[in-house]
Amino acid sequence: MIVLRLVDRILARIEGWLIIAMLSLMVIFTFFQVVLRGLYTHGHLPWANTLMGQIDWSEPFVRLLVLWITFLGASLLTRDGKHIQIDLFSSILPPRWLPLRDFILSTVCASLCAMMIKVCVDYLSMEMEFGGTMFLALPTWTGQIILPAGFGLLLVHFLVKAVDQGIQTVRSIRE
Amino acid sequence: MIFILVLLLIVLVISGLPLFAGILGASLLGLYTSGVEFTAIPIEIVRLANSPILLAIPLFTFAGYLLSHGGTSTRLVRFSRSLLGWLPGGLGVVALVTCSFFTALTGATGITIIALGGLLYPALISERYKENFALGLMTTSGSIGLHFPPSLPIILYGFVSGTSIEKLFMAGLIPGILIIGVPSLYSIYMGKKWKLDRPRFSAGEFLGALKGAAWELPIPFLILVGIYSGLSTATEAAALTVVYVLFIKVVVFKELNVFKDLPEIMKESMKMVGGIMIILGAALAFTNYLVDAFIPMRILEFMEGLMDSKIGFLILLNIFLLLVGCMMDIFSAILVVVPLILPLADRFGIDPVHMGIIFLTNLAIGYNTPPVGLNLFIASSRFDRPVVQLYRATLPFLVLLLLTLILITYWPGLSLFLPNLFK
Repeated sequence: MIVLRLVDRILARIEGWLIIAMLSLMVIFTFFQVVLRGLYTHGHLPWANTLMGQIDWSEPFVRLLVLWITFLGASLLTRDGKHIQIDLFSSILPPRWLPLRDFILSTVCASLCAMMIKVCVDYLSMEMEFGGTMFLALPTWTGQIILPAGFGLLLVHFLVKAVDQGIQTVRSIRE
Repeated sequence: MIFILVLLLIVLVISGLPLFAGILGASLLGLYTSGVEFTAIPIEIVRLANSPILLAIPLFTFAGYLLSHGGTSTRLVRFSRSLLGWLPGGLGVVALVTCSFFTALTGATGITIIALGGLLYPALISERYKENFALGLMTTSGSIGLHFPPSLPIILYGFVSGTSIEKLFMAGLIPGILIIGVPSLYSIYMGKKWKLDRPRFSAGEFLGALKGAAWELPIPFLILVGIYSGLSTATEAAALTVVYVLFIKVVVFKELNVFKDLPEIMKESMKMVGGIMIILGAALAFTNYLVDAFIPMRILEFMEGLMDSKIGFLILLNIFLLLVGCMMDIFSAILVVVPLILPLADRFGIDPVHMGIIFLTNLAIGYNTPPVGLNLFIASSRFDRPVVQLYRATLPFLVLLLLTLILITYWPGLSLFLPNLFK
């Protein structure tokens, strides 16, 4: 359990750093693209166009970051327990039932994530075999590795939550 | 067996299963029954990386979170107070205008109520507005302003429905003004009735406030001008907005420390983006299954048998969307419901741009609808009042907004006039 919590914390740290790095890159690259395009079309500066050609990989790269940030952000959100959900019962259900409900929900989420890891690994192995290349001649699967990895991160966070809530449930039943 | 699993999934979702997991579960079940490979799901999720317009979502969200830290809200309130405070019920109007400005920039995520509530609610009370009026006003303000650029729900609707985002922004302007205008008139009327103090318009204060807010006020207009002059796409406008907001927050006002505050704001904003976009990914997969299984077509056939008039369809749509808006947050509602409704709207000859505006208006109102509208709960915790009191407090505003909704729904010209003008 202690190990699991530690892993959970370390992963959250790493996710945080990655988000900060990726969002910064996203802002910087997109900003430079706009400026260069503006300089070329309105300032008629040929060197801006040349430079744009040099970083033509940045546009697909930034779009790929959207996918990565989605999973990293969702993963961090899991730790806060703030995923978007319909919640009709929090106010209706007696409070002592809530830990049990949360335990069930987290377990279901963890199982679904586990299934998705399997599905995404299948998909990735297909991509490794038949997939083409993306920017900078990188094979496409390298960018898509976030799919199984992202569901893996989600799985860990949901598992830790499930264990915590399981302990709480047992406690609330004993009382 | 499948039937039991579907039922189980529905029960889980209603009891609070994170929506993305619920939708993924539904897609898995659907694909399983129709015998399609599960890898259809990741193929769809990967599409999150294929659309330039989606890039605008993290960027605008980041800009919105940056703006909600520091003194922006204070400066904006001071400015609109100096401009509109002299009206009867002026502070109410001020609250509506500033809140919608803020909501347009941050999305209807409750940030508005949290960021501006603490500022405006005590001010309203101290100027002797009735408590329930102030509460109702602040609660409804949380989802007013969704129609103005760069509203995230509009961008999402455009992406999901394949409608031009530039057109949608244009279409939202008049309905958006109406949605602020009607409650504003109510506030003016009540201000007159209660004979509230009316501070005089002071040119000196106005100029001072204008100077204070001069950096932040132009942001929505810069975005609009940038997009409609063809200078930038919505995504490029988003990048420019981020850099501009960073500049004023860090360099001009020195409110944010690059190393101390920025990392936290980045993480917080991207958590919200992750929460929305992972549902988008799941919804793309689910929609793909629905279309493959001809579900929208079946609903269409069923509905055609049920009724044949456009008006009948619109009435049913309004009721349905209000229910959805009160159960779900606006983002997931758009992602899940739009693909199902759009073929219907098309069949009944409703313009997809007008449809988008109807959608947003309904969902925004659904946010304030008892018993489970999200704004009610946010306001309940923010102002420390029981939810039941908020039901009562928001009622007059709800009625007014519903009247506006009827106007917007059955008078397409309101939405379509501007986009047609710019064609």
